[in-house]
Amino acid sequence: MTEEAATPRERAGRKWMRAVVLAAFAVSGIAALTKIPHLVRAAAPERVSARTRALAPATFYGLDTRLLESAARDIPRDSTYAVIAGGGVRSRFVRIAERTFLEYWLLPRRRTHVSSSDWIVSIGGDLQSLGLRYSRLVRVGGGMALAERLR
Amino acid sequence: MRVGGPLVFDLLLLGTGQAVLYGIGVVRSRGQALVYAGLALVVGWCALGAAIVYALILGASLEVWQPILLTAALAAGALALGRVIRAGDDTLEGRERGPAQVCAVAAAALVVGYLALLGLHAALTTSPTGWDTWAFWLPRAKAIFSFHGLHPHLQGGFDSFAHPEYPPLVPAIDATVFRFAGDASVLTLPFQDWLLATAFVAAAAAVLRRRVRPAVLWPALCLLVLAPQFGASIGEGYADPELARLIALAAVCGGVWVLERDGRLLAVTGILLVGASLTKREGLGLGLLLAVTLALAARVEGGRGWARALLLVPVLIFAALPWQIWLHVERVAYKPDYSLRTLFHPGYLSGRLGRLGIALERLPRIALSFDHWLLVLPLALLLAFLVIGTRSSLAVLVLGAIGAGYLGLACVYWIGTLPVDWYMRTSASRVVASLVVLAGALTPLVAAELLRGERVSSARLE
Repeated sequence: MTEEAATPRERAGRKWMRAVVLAAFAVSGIAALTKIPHLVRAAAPERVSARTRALAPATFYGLDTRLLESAARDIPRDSTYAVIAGGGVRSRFVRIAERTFLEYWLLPRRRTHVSSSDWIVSIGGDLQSLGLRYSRLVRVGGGMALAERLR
Repeated sequence: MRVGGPLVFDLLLLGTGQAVLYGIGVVRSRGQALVYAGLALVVGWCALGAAIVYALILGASLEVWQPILLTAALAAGALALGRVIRAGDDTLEGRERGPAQVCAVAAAALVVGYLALLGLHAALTTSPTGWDTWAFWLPRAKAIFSFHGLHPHLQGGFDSFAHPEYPPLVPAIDATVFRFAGDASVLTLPFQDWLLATAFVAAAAAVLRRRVRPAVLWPALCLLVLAPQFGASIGEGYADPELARLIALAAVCGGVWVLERDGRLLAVTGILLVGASLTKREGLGLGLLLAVTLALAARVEGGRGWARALLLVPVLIFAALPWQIWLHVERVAYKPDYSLRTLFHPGYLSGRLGRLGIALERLPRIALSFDHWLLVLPLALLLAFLVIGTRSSLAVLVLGAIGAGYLGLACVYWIGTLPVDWYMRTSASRVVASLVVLAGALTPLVAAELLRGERVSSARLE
C-alpha cells in the first residue's frame, strides 16, 4: 500500500512502527557497543609458538603434556600402541582426557589392542600386570610411562 | 606451518563456487564475481566438499590431484549449465546519503575491522581446544589424511573414534587442507574457519543488498558479528558454527526467494542445505525444516511456484543417503546419542517428559543470553512479530524456522540417551547457534520490509 493511498491512521501506524524498529536497533546497537572492549580483549592477536598452540588443547584441560611429547618423540610413526590406565593417576578425568587426547595426538600411530600393539602407553596403569616383556621403558613422571614390547 | 598449500585449496573452493554461481546464472560479470566472492567461497565449500565426501565413500585416497580433478569436473559441468540457463536481473537498493550514509559506513567499517582482528587472532593465536574437536573431529580428519581415505575397520583409523556416524564433510575438508599443506598441520584450520566466517558475512551482505538498504543492512549485520559467541566460535574446531552459518545463509537466500521467486536463489539455498546436511546430523533435520518453512512462507506470500521449495526435501534426503548407505554396507558400529525412531514410541517418550521440560527451558535461556548473543534473538523476534501485519510471509519464515528448529533441538534432548544435564551442558550453547545466527541473518530483511513503505513514500515526497 502506498503512502498516498493510506489513511491518516495507517500513516500514523507506520510512523509508530518505524519508531519502534529504529528504537529496537538503537537499544541493540548500544548494548553491542558496551561489549566492544571485551571483544577486542578476547580477539587481541598474540604471537604464540607453534608448540604452545599445538599443545593448547591439553593445557586448556590441565593435562600433563610430558606424556604426549614423550610418546610422539619415542614411538615411531608407523608403530601401533595400546593404552592402559589405572590408579597411578588418581583423577578419572585426567585418565580419560589423556587417553582421548593421546589418540588424536599420536596419529598416524594407530591405537590397537594390547595383544597386537608395538608399544604400551600407561596412564597410571600397571605395566607388569599385563604379563608382557619389554625392550624399553620410558618413565615420563606423574605415574605415566611408555614401554616398547619385546617381540 | 605451511600456508601456501591451504590457500591454493581455498582458491579451488572459490573457483568451484564461482563456476557454480555462473552455472545457475548468479554471476555473469567480473563485478558480480567480486560482489559474490563470499557466496562463491561458501558455495564452493559445499559443492566441492560434497564431491570429496562422495569420492571418499567410493574409495578415493584424497591425493592432491583428486580435489583438483573434482574441481575441474564441477567447473566444466557448471560452465556447460551456464550456457543453458539465462542470467537474471540483479536488483540493488540505492546508495545512502547524509546521516544514513554515515551510519552504513561506520557499521561496515566496524564489521570489517572486527573481522580483520579475528583473522589475525585466528592466524596467530587460536588453537582448536574444544573437547569434541580433538575427541573425534580432528582425529577423523587426521585419519583420512594419514591412511589415505576412510578405510573402515582399520584399527585406530577413521571409525575408531567417537561418533563415526556423523557426516564427514568437515573432516574431509580438513583432511584436504592437510593434504595441500603437506602435513596434518591443525594450526592452519582456525584461519580456514575464519575465512568461511568472513565469507558468510560477505555472502549475506551480497544477497541481502538486493532488498536491504545499506543503512539497515550493515548495522544489522554488525549486531550479529559483534555477538561474543560469533567470534569465540571461530577456530574452535567444532562443526556447529559452520552448520549455523550454512543454515543462516540458506535462510537468507530462501527468504529473498520467497519475496522475489528468483529460482537462482532457491538453487543456492539447495546447495547450502546439502552442505549443511553433510556437515552434521542435525543439519539434515534443520535443512528439511527450513525447506518446509520456506514453502509455507512462499504460500503465504502468494504467487506461483511456492511448492518448488518442497523439491529441496528429496534433494537433501538424496544427498545424505550415500553416507547412510556406506555406514550400513561397511557395518560401521556406532552408538548414536539419539534415535529418531524413538519419537514413535509413546511409552519411551512419556517416561522422559522431564528431559523435554529441561530442554524447552534451557535452550531459550542460552539463546537469549546477553553474554553469548547480545540482543540478536530478541530483536529478530520483535521484528518478526511487528512484520506480521505488513509482510506475513517473513513472519512465517522467521518464527516458523526458529520455532521449528527450537522444538526439533528440544526433541533431540528429549530422546537422547545421554544424561540430560551433561548433554545440555556440553552441547546446548553450540547447537542453539543455528537458531540465533539464522535469526540475526534474517533481521536485515525483516527490518527493511518494515521500513520499506515509509522510505518509498518519503522518496516520492521528495
